[in-house]
Amino acid sequence: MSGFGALCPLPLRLGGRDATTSWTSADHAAAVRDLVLVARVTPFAHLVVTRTGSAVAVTRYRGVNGSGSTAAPTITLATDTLHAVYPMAWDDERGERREVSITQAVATPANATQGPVTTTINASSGRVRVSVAALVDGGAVQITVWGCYLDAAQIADYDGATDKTDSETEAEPYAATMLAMLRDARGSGFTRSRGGLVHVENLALARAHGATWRRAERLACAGNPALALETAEDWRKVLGVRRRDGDTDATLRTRNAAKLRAMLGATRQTVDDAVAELLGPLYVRTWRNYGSETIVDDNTGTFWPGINPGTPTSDLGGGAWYSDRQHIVVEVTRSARVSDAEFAAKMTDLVELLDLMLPATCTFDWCTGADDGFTLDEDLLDEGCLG
Amino acid sequence: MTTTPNGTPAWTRATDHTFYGGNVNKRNYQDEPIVNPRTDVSANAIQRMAADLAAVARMADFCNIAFSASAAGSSVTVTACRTMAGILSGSYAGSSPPAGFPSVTHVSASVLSIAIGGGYSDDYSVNAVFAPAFAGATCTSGTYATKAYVSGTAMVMVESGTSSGAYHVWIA
Repeated sequence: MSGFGALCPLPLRLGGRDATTSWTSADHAAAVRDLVLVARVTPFAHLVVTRTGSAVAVTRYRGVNGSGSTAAPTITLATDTLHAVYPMAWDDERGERREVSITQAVATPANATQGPVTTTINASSGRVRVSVAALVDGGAVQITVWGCYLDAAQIADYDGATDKTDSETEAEPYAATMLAMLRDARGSGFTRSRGGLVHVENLALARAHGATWRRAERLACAGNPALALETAEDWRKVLGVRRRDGDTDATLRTRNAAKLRAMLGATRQTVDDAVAELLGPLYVRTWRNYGSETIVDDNTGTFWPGINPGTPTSDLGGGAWYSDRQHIVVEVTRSARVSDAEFAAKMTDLVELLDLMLPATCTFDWCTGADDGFTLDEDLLDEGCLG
Repeated sequence: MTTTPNGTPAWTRATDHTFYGGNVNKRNYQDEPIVNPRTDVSANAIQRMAADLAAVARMADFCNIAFSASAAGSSVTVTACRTMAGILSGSYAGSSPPAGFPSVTHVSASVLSIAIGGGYSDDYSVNAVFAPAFAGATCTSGTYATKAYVSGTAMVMVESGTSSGAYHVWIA
């Protein structure tokens, strides 16, 4: 449905029946994705500093945090070296506190008088200092800085999530549906025009009913850990899911949902579904050492006394036998956009989930390659299977 | 009916989150949370998107231009140029730019100038003035550090050890 206004107020509901009046989940995902991509490479600020005698002044400033001298960093001059000191946080134009970390800077001459300059950057005491050496009297330098502010943007900032989809329940605004129903329900003695008291009453009732329908839908979502937002924390506690620093609503929902699936039992399908739900786009497939085989088929690595002797090293003694039928490997993929911390957290979640779901006789591991082989541990060096 | 976007084009650097529907008082209807997090976008997310889009628009380069110049300054050829208002197809002599693109001319043995101020139209035919404020340049020739700086309200000066070489200049 999407849209803002009397019959479709915020929140925006993605999807709809008509491309001319709606915004789909794919549209939203593209906008969110590209905004994040562009934000990552956007400089934090440009500024021009001019020196006159021993005085320095910011003559131009434009940054992510605003424009003009009020947004500019504090500058000082020590001999011929300019220091621009950035704090670690700003309030954005909506008054929201945003942390920033300046990590790169480059200074260039900005008038005919100024010769080449050199730039250094260092952080201490909660501030970042950009130093520019060889600023001459009458000279000017332009400094461009990059840092984590917008480039730390993530799709979740804009309610983006990898499981976003179009609304199937409110493809037509609830209030619009109700308004049509109310008009039809009125007798022929009531006007159907868009002006007048009848329309006002219909509209007010339609909006009220629309809100009620939304509440009912929200209540239904609250009962599903994959969709619960207001009750996500309750689900987390009930299911015993750990909260991590930096968790987004979407990651918590997926962990809650995967944990609930684990309670359905360790069938092949439920394991695959739970793992796929947890990992999202990181999941490739689950590898098993059996397919349509029956248990009587020999399997490499199986030691079954009297049937498949296997290698002596597979004999656990006392008639116990070993089989890699009970071993599964979850193949995952990772892209540059996934940080080491995010990836490690996901893999930890995966290990916890499989440990919970699978019977004690089953072993498991994960890998980032589909080659035959084994993984040693979770060290980045060993993400690929060593064949 | 032609839609007219809010505000002014990004190159005016007057971008504000309100251009994109941001409002510090924007909220979900009746202050209620989103209905379904898998299908909904909250007022807060829309606000954040508007604020970050404004910041990105404020910082984006207006123009990236590549040109080559001879030592004597007799010829300057613009080989590539992208502005917020359009992308060059082909090349042109620096002193004879097509409409909407900057002229690049030889000033002295080591100085070139780029005239890039004035009015430009966006995709909705909204006209607004661009005034350069920041610039940077690199040049393939010489060991002298190439520099670019804004001069006046519509000029960017580019200095190098010699005019000869292939240049790349960004202007914001």
